[in-house]
Amino acid sequence: MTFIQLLFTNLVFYRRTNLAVVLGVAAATAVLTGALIVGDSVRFSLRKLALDRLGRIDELLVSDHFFREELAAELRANAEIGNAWWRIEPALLFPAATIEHRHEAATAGSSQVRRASSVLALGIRDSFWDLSDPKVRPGKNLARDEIVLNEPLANELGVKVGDVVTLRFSKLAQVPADSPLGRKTGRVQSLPEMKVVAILPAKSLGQFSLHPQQGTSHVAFVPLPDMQDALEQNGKVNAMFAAGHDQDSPPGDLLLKTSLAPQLVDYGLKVEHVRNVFSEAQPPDVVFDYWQLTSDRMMLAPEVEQAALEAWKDRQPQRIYTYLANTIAVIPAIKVEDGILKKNEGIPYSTVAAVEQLPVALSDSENETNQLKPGEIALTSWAADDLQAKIGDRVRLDFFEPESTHGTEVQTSAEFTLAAIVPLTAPTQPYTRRQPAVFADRPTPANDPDFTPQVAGITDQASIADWDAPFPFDQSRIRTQDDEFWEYYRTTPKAYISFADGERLWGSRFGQTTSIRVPAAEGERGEQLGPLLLNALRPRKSALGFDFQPVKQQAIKASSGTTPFDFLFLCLSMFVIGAALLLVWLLFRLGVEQRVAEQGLLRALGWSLPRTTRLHTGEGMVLAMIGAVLGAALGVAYAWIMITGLRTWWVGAVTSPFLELRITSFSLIVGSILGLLTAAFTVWLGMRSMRQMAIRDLLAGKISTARPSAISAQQSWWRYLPPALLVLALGLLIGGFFLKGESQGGAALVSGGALLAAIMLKLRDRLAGSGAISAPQPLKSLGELAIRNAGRNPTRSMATMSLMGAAVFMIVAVSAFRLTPTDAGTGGFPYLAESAEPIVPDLNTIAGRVTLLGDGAEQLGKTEIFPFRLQPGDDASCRNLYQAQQPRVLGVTREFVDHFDHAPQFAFRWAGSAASNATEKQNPWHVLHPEDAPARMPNDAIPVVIDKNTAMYSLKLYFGIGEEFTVDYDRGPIRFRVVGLLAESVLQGNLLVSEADFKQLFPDQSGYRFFLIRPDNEAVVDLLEDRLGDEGFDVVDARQRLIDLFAVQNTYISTFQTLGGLGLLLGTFGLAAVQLRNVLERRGELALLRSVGFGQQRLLSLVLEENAFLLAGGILTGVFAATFALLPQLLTGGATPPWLDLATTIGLVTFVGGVVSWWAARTIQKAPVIAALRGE
Amino acid sequence: MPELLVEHVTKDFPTPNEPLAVLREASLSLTAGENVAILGPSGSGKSTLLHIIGTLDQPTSGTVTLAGVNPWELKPEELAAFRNRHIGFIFQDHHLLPQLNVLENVLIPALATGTPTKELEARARSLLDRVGLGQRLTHRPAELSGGERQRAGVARALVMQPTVLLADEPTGNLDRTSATAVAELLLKLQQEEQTMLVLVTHSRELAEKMQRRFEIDDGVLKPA
Repeated sequence: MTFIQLLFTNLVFYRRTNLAVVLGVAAATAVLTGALIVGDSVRFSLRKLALDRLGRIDELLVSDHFFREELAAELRANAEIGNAWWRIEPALLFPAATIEHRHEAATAGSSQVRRASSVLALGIRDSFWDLSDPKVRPGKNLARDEIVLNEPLANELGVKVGDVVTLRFSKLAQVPADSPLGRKTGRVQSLPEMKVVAILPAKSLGQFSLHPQQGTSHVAFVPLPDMQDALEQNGKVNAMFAAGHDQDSPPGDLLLKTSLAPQLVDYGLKVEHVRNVFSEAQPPDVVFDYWQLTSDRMMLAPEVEQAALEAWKDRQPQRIYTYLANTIAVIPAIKVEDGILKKNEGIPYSTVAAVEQLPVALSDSENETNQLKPGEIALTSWAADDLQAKIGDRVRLDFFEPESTHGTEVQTSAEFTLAAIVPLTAPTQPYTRRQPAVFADRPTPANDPDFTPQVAGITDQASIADWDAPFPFDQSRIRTQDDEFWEYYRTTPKAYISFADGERLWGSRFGQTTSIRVPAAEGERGEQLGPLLLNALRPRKSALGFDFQPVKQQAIKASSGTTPFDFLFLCLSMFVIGAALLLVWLLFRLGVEQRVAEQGLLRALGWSLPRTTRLHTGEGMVLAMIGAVLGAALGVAYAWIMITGLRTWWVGAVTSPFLELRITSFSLIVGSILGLLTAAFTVWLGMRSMRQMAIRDLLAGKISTARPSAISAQQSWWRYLPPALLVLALGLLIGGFFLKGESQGGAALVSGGALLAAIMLKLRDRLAGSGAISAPQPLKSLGELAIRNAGRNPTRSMATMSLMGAAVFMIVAVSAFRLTPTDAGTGGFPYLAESAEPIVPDLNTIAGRVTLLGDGAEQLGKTEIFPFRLQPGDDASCRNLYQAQQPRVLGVTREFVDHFDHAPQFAFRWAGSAASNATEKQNPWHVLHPEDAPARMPNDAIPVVIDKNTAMYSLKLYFGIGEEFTVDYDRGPIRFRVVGLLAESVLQGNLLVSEADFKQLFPDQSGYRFFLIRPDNEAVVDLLEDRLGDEGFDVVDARQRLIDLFAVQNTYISTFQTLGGLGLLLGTFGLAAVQLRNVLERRGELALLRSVGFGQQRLLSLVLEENAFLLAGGILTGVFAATFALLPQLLTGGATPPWLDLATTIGLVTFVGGVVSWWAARTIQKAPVIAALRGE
Repeated sequence: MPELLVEHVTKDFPTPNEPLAVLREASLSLTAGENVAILGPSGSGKSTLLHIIGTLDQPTSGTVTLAGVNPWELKPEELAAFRNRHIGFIFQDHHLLPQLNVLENVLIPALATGTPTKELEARARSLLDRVGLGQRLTHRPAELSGGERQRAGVARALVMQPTVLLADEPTGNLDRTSATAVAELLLKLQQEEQTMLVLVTHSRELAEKMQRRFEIDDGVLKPA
């Protein structure tokens, strides 16, 4: 026989105990492996979903303006592109469209409207479907007026094939709404009467989404020409999809990006040759001759301006900013003429050009110049005559500030000194629809209406009376001569100021230039100007919206997820793992202790301690290995149960049932190894105490080295510990009434834990006392004997009870962290809303309400609506399992911040802030708009407020206030600095910056799309949704939104409690092992009792009662400590423990504990009396 | 030249009040082939003395020299090997491993330092023959009578040819007939193997069969 043979002989001989150890190891390994498989499954499912909903799309370009559909064909024509890329599909894409369906209501003759917002609407050609799974496409090509919906959208609308819907989407207005010349309303385009011809399943492109998220998406597809016609953008698109030949390995996008060659028209730019030749002269006289760059968005983007100046630097480029002056007036307006007091109201609604050079030279005594100095103005001769102004007069310009808020234009003024009068030649015939004005005399270079960019509804109108002005326009101010000027001069500026003044007064986030012109060279046809500009635009095309995004790569990156589910489930399963390991330890110890004399013998026969230890440890390792292999297999089953749980009863944690089981060999191997190592450690721990035992004690069958303590427990400082812990528990209990949120939860845990420890220590002392020889009272019942028996080894009994008690306590007390919606979470706003289209007018003013709601405006009463600017992006709340790449940003208005100064009864709860003065401390929102902060440098980080959960779990910001982080947005990276952390708020998932910062960061975003609402009456919500339906205004109950957000944490707590219950159940088997150990230790004593007349049933009762004392003592103490700790939350309504579930769990544990105890106790019935009395 | 020399051995056990002296200045010497009996009432310290000679327990003071070696100067690993080589234990409770058969039980000491050699296995078989268990080699302890188990225990104690045999109440659990048989067998084998034997017993009858007898009274060892 060899050492190994002996080891295996032992394993077989003690197979029953060993089987229990194997099962314990298997349980622990199963949980470890299962947790890893859950992590794999979540990542796999996130990736699969993210890739599936992209179909074959690898790259996506979405621009904020229209470009030629042919741009895609031009890309495809490139041979290199053709080799690498399979398809490049142009499309119109609107991520925030609205669809409504009118259906018959219950009452005859009436109809109701069902509306779905946040719909991703795509205008496509039939070839687009090649990018989708062949099974996910309509059965036929789309004809005009036909629409395809995906299933979730059809379900929400309640429509079926054959029904008719209306699609509304943005017009992608050219002039920003926040500009005085931008449209504030009516920015939505409709496609009515679209017939639903197919409903796609929510798979592949049937669940296409721009932002990674595991929830369902609403998608609608219409024929591209339908959208183009509606938008009056024939042949134009705003998006391109690119798909590589190889689905699994998309080609890099460098070639795609470098080959993309937008033309000027794609950028919305125009380089025109403007030439005026006075043909009446002989020879014909060239009045002016130049090339001019303009944008269809009125303003030239800063990047375009830079490119043009760079490209044309050798051609003396001149920048022009033409703006609308509401009034040009001389100062003073009242003059005495011929003894009569005359008031000059000034010239209304005139264009004024800020120029680097006047169109004509100024006459000066010393030299000729055509440059105005800052503070100087030049009036045209027409204007000077009208105003009777002369050189040196002061001239006032009234104009709207270049950026409006809520569409409310603010008029302001600036004064100038009249430095020159620019001659204008009066035409002999006015403009007609077909031809410009006709001059009998030579016009001057100032007779140039092309100083002014085209503004639809104004510059294209035949008379001022026809103006469709987006700004407050007082028709009554228009005089006869003004009408005549329009007829004869159109948009010719009436005055000029220096470009520097124009930049200062009218410059905005939208730009500071309306056109750039260069003088035409003799005989030049302009061929080289366009290419020069295009070359300069090429490195800037990404900033101008021509940038392919690697959506597939981004989706894969995002699908790494925000939550490490393997780690999470390891934590959630810690009780199961702990209980399984405890079981392994107890069973292994039990096995070792059963054979303690064998150890003594081997040692006495000359076996060294390491060799003896090696034998037992070797046995343990073999058991651990078998258990680990078995556990890996069981881990698959455990993971399946967890995944099934996450798809069904725990779906709140992941928001949609999208998870699939994914088993990887890596997880199986790592899980097995972890299980093996953990079990090995447990075995080593089990053997460790045996090493200290004396050989003679081992031979005598002793399994404890316990000796009487030299110092009595009653004399030690330990006696003061229970009362100290009790005081701590009471103190924290009282403190808990004054705390909130997680700090209250933390106080509850510590308070309950202290109470539990105090009770257990006291109980230990009492047990030790009851086991003492000098018990004060003789035994009167079997129960008392049972308690005395429990007192034989008070430490072990207390440990058993403590384990049960601590587990019960944790399972119940964790309810303290269950979140319920509060006013502090919603900031006191019962509703929040989002709109698909920006809302510009102010819903808190009568004018804004009337503009938006018409006759419903009065119903709003005292309703308070706080709007936020919104940069769309990824949801960074805990409901989104994907890693947010570009989190949504909200711009917080000054009014919102100030609101909390005046309404202290409403407030969000703050987890922290950078508040440094009394004002900020009283209302931390001020940290976004600090009044005494030094001017920020361009590279300084942007102050941002975030919900604490968003910061920690989604953005991985663990260092709180002051931490800086960078996010790559489409316009470039933005560095933020955390200045405030909200606690459990409805604003979770967003980055909140000041409105001023927002406008600088996202200049293209005008108006407001996110709202917090405190309604005056219940009808307000329906009214807003109805009247703002075209804008996709969707109101949500703020408390419900909070409940949805909290559902994630609350579901995790439920999961913890359920798995904790499972662990506790497993722990009861450990209790049985302890009981068995007790029985084995005392078999002689029990045999003695039998010998003196105790029947088997009586002995069984004795053991059962002792066990019941330990089990019930642990459970009741745990429940009591948890209830005590939760008192503050229970009394203030801050905690709603699932009492029924907890009672069921504890009841089940008690039942199973009772059954296994009975099983353990039955072993005494099998013990032969004589042998037991002999100690064999 | 004595092979076993016990000199002024004292053993105290700690108690909450004051140390309890179990052995006081015990001295003893044996030469090869010699056997002694140690008598005394329960709790007198005779098993403690046996454990100290057997290196299972360390004396509070005094020295033990076996085969010229003070075992308490050895490192733990060396001490185990020393015990394996020089000491054979026979217990009142036979301590046979229930999972092993008789032959395997006898060979257990050989596994302490490696794998049993063929010579040792042959010796084990021979010893089992000599104790009358030659036909029960593959039987498990549960299949043996009390006397047979103890005889297997004697064979196990002798398999490594120890310098000293230490027997703690070897017949205490046996009936009179079996006890006599085991005692005679033990003495016979001790003589044949020319090993030393220290036997602790209550039994005057068994003690009378030994060459020398000692008695422990209140921790003091003196000739009986």
